[in-house]
Amino acid sequence: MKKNDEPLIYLVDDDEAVRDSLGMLFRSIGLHFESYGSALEFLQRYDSARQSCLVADIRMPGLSGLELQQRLNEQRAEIPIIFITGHGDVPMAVTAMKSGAADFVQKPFRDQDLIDRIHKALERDGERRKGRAEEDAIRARIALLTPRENEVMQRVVRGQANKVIAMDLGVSQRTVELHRARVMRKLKLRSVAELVHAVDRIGGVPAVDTAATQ
Amino acid sequence: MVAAEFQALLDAAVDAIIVIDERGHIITFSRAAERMFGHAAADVVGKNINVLMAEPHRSRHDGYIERYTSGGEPHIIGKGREVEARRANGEVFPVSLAVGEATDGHKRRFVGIVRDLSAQRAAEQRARSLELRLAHVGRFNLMGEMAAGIAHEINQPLSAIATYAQAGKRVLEHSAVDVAMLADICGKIDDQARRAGQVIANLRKFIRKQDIDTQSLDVAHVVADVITLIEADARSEGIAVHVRNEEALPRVRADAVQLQQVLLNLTRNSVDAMRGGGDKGRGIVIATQRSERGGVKITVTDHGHGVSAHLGDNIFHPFVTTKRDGLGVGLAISRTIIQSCGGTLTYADNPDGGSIFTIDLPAEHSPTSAT
Repeated sequence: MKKNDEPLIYLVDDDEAVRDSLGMLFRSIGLHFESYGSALEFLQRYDSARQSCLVADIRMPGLSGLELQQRLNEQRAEIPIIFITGHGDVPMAVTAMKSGAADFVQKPFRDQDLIDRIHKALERDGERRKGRAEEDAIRARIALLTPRENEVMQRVVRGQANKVIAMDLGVSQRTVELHRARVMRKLKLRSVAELVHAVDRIGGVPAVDTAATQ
Repeated sequence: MVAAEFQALLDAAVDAIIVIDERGHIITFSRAAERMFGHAAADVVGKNINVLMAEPHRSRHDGYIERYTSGGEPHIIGKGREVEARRANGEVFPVSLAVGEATDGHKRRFVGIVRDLSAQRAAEQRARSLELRLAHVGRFNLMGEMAAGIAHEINQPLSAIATYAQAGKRVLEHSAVDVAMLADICGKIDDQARRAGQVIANLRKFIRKQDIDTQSLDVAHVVADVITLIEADARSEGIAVHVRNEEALPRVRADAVQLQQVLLNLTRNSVDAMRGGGDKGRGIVIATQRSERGGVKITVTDHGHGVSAHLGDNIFHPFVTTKRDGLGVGLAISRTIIQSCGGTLTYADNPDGGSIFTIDLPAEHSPTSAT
């Protein structure tokens, strides 16, 4: 049984020998992998929750490598892709690169070259997941704020002084200071700079309906 | 008929006219006969007709006449046939020979009318060799168009071999060497090297052969032998190829390489028709089945853009093409090849979008089968 937290290589190639030989290479160095003969089979089994990368032939009957990449983009699956290409696939490779493919190896390739790229891709996927987890945590904490706290936070992020916020909201400056302190506590942040960075990282927060609170 | 009129008729006839008696001796030798055989009438009149014949009839002819005059069934009289004749200089040439019989009292005469077929044969031969050369050029042309696909098809096993070898090297680096795995790897490298060799062997066979070798063929085998090349071409564009063979099909008479050339031409067109779109998953279907008239039907169905209606049957004419860089001879050559086997090659629109080309070949022993 493979442990589910081990990084995984998804291998997709319609050519059985290419698939088998790569599988053997991965096995010889103890990498976890699952191999599929077609892009559709892979899409049915792909587990987006797991740290992984995709090694796929760019030319395949049925769903080609590029079409597979398109499907993954549509599903917002940000799995790093390493395409295996043949001679004369440069235009395809360029298209793939523009659509966000991680990397390429040209057949026949050096094993170390492929393995290095796989390690890099898995590492990048790991970092992306870590970043994603942190963002999710920020969002979860912001969800704990009351509407009034949220309002104050947004004004702080926009650079408004406590005095201005107090006047706008028709409360005392002291009340604004209390809201601010609670926001920082709930978000586990220490400075305005950290707050701005956190909100920026999750792409901003939707404005709350201030009319209801006035 | 008076003698003068008869002589005029003899002299004017384009075909050679020769009259012999019942012992086979020449009595009359026309002008055309003199020209055709290179003998002067004076030199051959009175001689045995067999001086004009090639073996085996030359030495058997006296026997033929004797058998017939002593009550046997005639083998040639009133029927006419193609035989070989011999000129004065020893050259053997093909003729068509018709023999009639005249009875003058108790004497029997045989009249032979001989037409020289050598010019016609030579023209046929030239046409055949031109067709053959055109077919051969067509194969090169096809291979040129398929070069990318073939390179890919050879690169696949090479890539697998390299990866197997690299995996093997890593296995050797482990402290406990897995001998069974190494043996497995070596076997697979061997398989893949053969696979690459097979692609090249198929290619060579397809390109090199120039003589027609008409023989009894199992259509399913013919398809199986060319499928590597077809797949090489289709796969490089991401197009699937499906083969469906009906069981126990009658055999056909054709040249295997030429039939493969037709198939490859059709699938090549299909690949072009699907390059820019179409249903690549359903791709190309090659199906063999028994035809209504007891022969074999091979259909090549694709899901590409089809043939535009205004072209119609013109697609089979040479130099009619919808491809920017195509020569437009593929389908013309294909139809010639199929017709020379007594078959037909036709086109129909695919109701699901795309084209259906149908090769209909007579069964090997059917009367419509060409020789």
